[in-house]
Amino acid sequence: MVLQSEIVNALSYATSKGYQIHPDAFAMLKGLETDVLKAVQEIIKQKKQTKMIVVDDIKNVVNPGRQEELVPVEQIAKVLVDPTPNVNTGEGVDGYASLFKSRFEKTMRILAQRPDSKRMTKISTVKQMGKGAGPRPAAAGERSLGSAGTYVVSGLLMSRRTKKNGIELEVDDYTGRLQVTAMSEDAKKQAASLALDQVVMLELENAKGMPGLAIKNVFSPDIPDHLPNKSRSEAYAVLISDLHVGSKYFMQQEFLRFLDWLASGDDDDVVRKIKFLCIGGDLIDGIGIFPNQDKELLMMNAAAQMAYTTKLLSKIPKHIKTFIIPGNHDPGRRALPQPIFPEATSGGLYGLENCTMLGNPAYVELNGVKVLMFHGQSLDDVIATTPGMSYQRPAEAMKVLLKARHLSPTYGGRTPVAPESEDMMVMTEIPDIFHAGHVHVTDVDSYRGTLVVNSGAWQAQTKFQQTMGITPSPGIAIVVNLATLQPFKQDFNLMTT
Amino acid sequence: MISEGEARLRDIRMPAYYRRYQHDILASVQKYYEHALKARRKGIDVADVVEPKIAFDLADRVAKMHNIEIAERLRALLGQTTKEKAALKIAEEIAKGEYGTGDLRTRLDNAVRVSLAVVTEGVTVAPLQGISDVTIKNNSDGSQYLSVSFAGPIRSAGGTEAALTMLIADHARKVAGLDTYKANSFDDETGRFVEELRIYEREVMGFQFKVLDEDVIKCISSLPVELDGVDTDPVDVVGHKGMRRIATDRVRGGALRVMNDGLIGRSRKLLKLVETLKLDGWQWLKELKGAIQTGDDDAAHHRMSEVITGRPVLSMVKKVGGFRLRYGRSPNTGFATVGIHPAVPALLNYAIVAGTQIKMDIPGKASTIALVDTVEPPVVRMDDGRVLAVLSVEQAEKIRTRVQKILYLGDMLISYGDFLENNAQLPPASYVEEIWALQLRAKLAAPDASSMDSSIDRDRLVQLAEHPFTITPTVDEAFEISRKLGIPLHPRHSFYFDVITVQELLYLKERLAGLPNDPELKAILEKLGVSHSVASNNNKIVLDDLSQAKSLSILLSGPAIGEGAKDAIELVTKSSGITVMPKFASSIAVRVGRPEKAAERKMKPPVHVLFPIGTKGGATRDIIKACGEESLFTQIANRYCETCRLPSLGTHCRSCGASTMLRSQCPICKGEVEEGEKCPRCNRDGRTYASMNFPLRAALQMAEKKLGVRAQEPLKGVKSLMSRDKAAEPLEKGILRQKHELHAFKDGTIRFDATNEPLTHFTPAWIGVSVDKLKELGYTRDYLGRELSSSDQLVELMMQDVIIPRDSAKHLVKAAKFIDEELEKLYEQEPFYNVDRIDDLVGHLVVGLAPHTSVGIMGRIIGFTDSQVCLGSPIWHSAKRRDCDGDADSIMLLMDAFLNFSFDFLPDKIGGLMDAPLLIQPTVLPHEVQRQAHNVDIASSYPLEFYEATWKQAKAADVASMIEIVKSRIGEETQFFGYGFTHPTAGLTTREQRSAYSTLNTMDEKLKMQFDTAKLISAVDADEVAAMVLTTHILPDIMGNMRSYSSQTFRCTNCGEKFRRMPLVGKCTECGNGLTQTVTRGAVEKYLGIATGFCQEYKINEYLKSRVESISAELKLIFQEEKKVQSSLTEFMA
Repeated sequence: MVLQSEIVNALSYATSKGYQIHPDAFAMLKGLETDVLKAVQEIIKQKKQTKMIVVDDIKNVVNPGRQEELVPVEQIAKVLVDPTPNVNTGEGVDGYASLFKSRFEKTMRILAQRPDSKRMTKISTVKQMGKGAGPRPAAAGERSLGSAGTYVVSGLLMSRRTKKNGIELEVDDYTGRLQVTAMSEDAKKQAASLALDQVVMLELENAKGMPGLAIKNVFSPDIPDHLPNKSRSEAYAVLISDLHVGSKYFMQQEFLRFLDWLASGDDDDVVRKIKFLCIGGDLIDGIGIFPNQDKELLMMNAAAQMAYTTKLLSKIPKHIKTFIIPGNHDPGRRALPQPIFPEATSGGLYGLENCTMLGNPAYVELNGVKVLMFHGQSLDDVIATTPGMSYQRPAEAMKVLLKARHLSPTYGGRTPVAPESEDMMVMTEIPDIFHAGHVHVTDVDSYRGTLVVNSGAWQAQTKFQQTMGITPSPGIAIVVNLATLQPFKQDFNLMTT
Repeated sequence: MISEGEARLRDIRMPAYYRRYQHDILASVQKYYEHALKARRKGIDVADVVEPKIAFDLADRVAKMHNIEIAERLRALLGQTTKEKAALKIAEEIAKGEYGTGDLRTRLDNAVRVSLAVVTEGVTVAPLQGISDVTIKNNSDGSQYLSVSFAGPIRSAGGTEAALTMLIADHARKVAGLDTYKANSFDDETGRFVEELRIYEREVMGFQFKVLDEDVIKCISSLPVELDGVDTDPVDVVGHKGMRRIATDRVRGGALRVMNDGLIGRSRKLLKLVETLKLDGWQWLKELKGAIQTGDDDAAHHRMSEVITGRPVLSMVKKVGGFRLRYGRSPNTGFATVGIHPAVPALLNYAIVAGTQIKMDIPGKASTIALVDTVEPPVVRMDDGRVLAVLSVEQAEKIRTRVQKILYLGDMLISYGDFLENNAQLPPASYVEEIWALQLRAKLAAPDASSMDSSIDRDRLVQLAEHPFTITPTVDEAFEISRKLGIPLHPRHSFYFDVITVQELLYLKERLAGLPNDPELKAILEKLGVSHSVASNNNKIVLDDLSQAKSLSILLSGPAIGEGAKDAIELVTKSSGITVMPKFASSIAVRVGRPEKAAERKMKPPVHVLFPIGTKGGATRDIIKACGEESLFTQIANRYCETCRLPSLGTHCRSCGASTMLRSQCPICKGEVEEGEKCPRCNRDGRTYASMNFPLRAALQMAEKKLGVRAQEPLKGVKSLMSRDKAAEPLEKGILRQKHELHAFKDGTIRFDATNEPLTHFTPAWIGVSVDKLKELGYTRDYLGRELSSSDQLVELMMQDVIIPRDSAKHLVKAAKFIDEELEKLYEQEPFYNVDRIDDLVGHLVVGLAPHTSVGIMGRIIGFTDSQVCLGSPIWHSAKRRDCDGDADSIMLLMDAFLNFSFDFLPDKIGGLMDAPLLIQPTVLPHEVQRQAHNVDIASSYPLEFYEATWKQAKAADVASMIEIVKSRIGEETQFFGYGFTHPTAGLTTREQRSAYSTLNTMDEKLKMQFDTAKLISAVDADEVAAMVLTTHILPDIMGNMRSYSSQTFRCTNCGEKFRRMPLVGKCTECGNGLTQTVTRGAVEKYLGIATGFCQEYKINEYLKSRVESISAELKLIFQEEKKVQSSLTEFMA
């Protein structure tokens, strides 16, 4: 970590030269492990067009294709966050009140790092100012840093309605509810892409020609553009999910090929260096997950399905550290966050010494790389409610979650959310890899330095998916080089290999 | 009015007494109308006229509903041709502009709506609110086509009619010269329908039919007119959003219904119509796989397996001892009502009563239960092993506690008409008394009958042939007749040989002499339906019925020829030389649907007066509480008396009598806006209501003073009004309703709901009315034409007369008293009813109204029943657009509809016009009611060929010529009278009038009753019932509530405001009060004990067991074991 004094020095150097540092870039500088002042000087030397130092500038000077040092392959794994011990802490009205309070507070701490957050006003204050005299230009002496005549509020998005003159948003904070309208094309687009119940910061101005306030700008908490952590040595992590053992559609043959491949280490340079395996939930197809499921099952009880899964997973070579979280088909509870598998129905899974069971969602650190594992239930809600989303591009939907800094923002939709006293779904940590599954379509992307992976499935197209028009891409494992965060797909389908 | 009504009736042939009957009703309506009009003229109400319009026939209804001058023309068309052809023709004429100008779109819009109105008899709101829009749109090639957009209330039209709208729209399109709709011109519209349908079925509800994806694609891509719709539910599609020609991304329930249950589900019916109407371009309907045939078995199976907790299963598919199908109709059955022996409800501890709805596998989906005592009675086994038939209710009640098993439930009498209506396959008839009698009659009529060599007197034979239900041959006669005349053995002396095997028969034959008490032998005798008991020394079985014993010994005495016989029947027939027929040929699977219903219609929460008080009255909407302040700020119609400077509720000022105008105001600048125009300054539509300070306290004090009645707390108003103008009722009406313990429905009327049941004949004794009174009402002769003199004579019911439940009559007495007091004290008029007892209601007119419709049908009260059903002729029920399959319709006093109903109270939303008496129809004509009633059979017996046809797997329509139905008399004088029935009955009800489900309080009690019933009936397997209850009710309930718990909404305990999510404030953002959860832990866990109990008590399969285990494990992770006691920091510090 950089010392505070170094940052101050660098900042004053930049200011003296007439340069500004973008908040994201500023955040990145703080996280650098090099001489900050030197970096800033270097950037200013190269900088021509603008007087704003942005993230890309830092990336250019700090990381110009760093050479890999040849170090022995490491295998250092740490569990950073597991929700299990904190699950089942609340009930009913009190539980939900405290859940959303926790969500708001945790996210506000993230937002507080933005300079414009200093202008934040309480909703009650904005409403008071709007009352009686009608909308009013910003008065002198108000804490107004940015453009005059605007207010900044933040809160949870309570509702969004499409009206004749724009999109009406309603947000609430500790002091009340406020309805505001997005009228400009830009604001409408931003408003449309928000998830209900996420924390949002809004810059408001007086609406033209009508009472009330219009949205000028929408800010999601978002993750900053950042340099991801990397492994010092070339080690690989394999990401898979959604096995659905017990289902008639479970692709046993392909999955066995995958297991064989993992065990074929001696002949293959990459396979030899696979140190970690992450399984993102839905190990089994479960029981009673959807109506008439018995017609699609080979095994009629959850314990039998888990026992069979254990038998399969025991073929994973013991030197590969495996992390497993539950999904919505697995035993346990369906409301998020999910605790680890109940041992009683785990079919001996806990006996596999190289496997670590975690709740959903969980953070693990693999050779220094922070991996956020989340089954992905809320992707259904995101895809159903966000314009431009589809089941064929789940990574896009995952980016919406990163922007909201929350893994399951929307309450009351398809994803059940438990009334826990702490909101464990807020992304307080910035992941280097964000791994989810659930939608059965493999997709890889990167967003502001984070590698975004949806790891597909090991289940062929089900009748349900057929009627929904979802074409899964099963039988593929995602392999990530932890030293470069370069991913590639390893396909185990019979026809393609 | 009388003259207009009689003009409509003039050309219709009817007997003189019927014409007088119709005249009396018209004259009465006139009297009610004039009395009400005088009161309404006072200007106290939102309109100073009587609001329901009087419509005499279909043409009238359609014209008045749509405000088009087409009644004459339509009447002429309907006089010459069928409804469908008339609809097509009128659509054509409207499209061409023969009834007014208007642009092409308006004309096509009218054409489509009016023609749908014609095919739905102008009774439903489907044409007004089920079609949201008719527009002209463009294909990608620029050609213009017609698009019809449907909304939710299209449901009230029925599948065939809804789909027919598309056919007619296409015809209008051709007339207008528009091109065809080309699907997928811009984007994947067929794919959208597939996706949308599946999402709707999953997220909203299933449709009547299950259809294939390929049919959906075929249908949408072949339609010459676009099928569109407005969104009906807040559920989005996922894949097919933002489409160019589909305005919404949400599901369009109306459009999906027209496609699924209409175009595809009824494709075969439609195809027939396409042929008769000679329509081009619809031949593709033939290529649809259709849902009817493939889905039917499945659908019936599905229907029978959807068992709800506490609603017993009575008879399972293909199980010995279930309800045996008996063809025929009794005066109280037919029209989706079936008859069972009255001993059955008594044996079942009244798990069912007259009026209970049952779901069944054939012929239709559901029916109502009626009691008929001439059908086969149940057979039971007692706790001491005795087996006997239970012949009467008294006997059933006496032995009930000792009955161990109901071996046979007896018959279920189902009319041919019900099979015809569903065009169902006719299951083989069991051999019953009436078939035997028909065969005997045929023999007697044969040319060689005179030379018959028989020791039996011919007169006796004729008696036996003519009176199958009252005269039974002795065992000797029966064998003699079979031997000599070569007809099968009389069913009374035969047994259920069709349910035992050849081996079992031989086993019995060997031991018939000694009859040792061995379990196997006893089981065989039970299956055969032989009455017997076990001797006290317990070693022998004794046959209690000597004639049965004799018959059995004759039948089994012959040589056991051909042990290779294919079944026991063949073996018996061959060895005895006597033809034995299958006695248990077909059975009906039955489970209880909805319990019978006779109850006051209340809004939730109940309302005394339609007056808006916002949140000021608290959760009970108490007006007295809202009077806490001098005036109340509320949204109410913008009527104002300029002279007195006071807001007014009625058309005239209550203080000075001056007329008050409803002003239209700009919502922003409050300036006056001309009707139909926009505010010149703000460019906003005017509003006819405003938020104003209403002097509520003064108004209430004035009302109390005027009536001399004090209002009691709580005087229940409403939170806000939903109508366009937000017109409110005068408070006096509420105070008086409260005084008489009544509640208003959303339209201002007082309703009583009761299950519909048909009745074609009755005796004065059945309906509790004296012969003299009936004579006054025009009943002078019984159904055989004899003078009416005794209360046991059977009389044919006139078509608009109704018999109402006593409970509902008591309620109507209160309503009549309320109306009289209202007339006297509020309107200062003469009272009208002057009734004290329910008997005083006889002869008064009521309005019958079915949900989803808006035409009230005039009925006359002639008597009362103890059961919870409203009995009327099938024609009357059908005029309301109902068959009697267990639905309940409402009745209200005619004066109430005239005096207190107002159009201005109806919600201003799609569907708002439903269930309100917009039109009232004083006369009911059989030829104008819906077709269902035309399929009611009215023959006095079914012919032998009919029964023979059932043995050859005929379909109902194949034998249509054999049995007289109402349809065959349409247009004749006899359409009004002379209906026959095949099975008489001695009464309508038994001692108990309410089923166990409605009298038991807790779910545990209901569940116990359900399983006690299951264990009692041999045709029911309790293990299967447990599995079905788990699958269809208990597990989905727990899982659904578990899911709702983690996505629940919150409600304010004070003002009732709802919150989709807990607001950060943690309390109500409106009033600051605390919030409460809408799904509690108790609601989630309530059935868990039952579920785990089932797994221990019954044989439940592995999958279901595992589901229960998973759910209980999951619940442990949602709710803490027990509330953790939070110890606070201060405790430790102390």
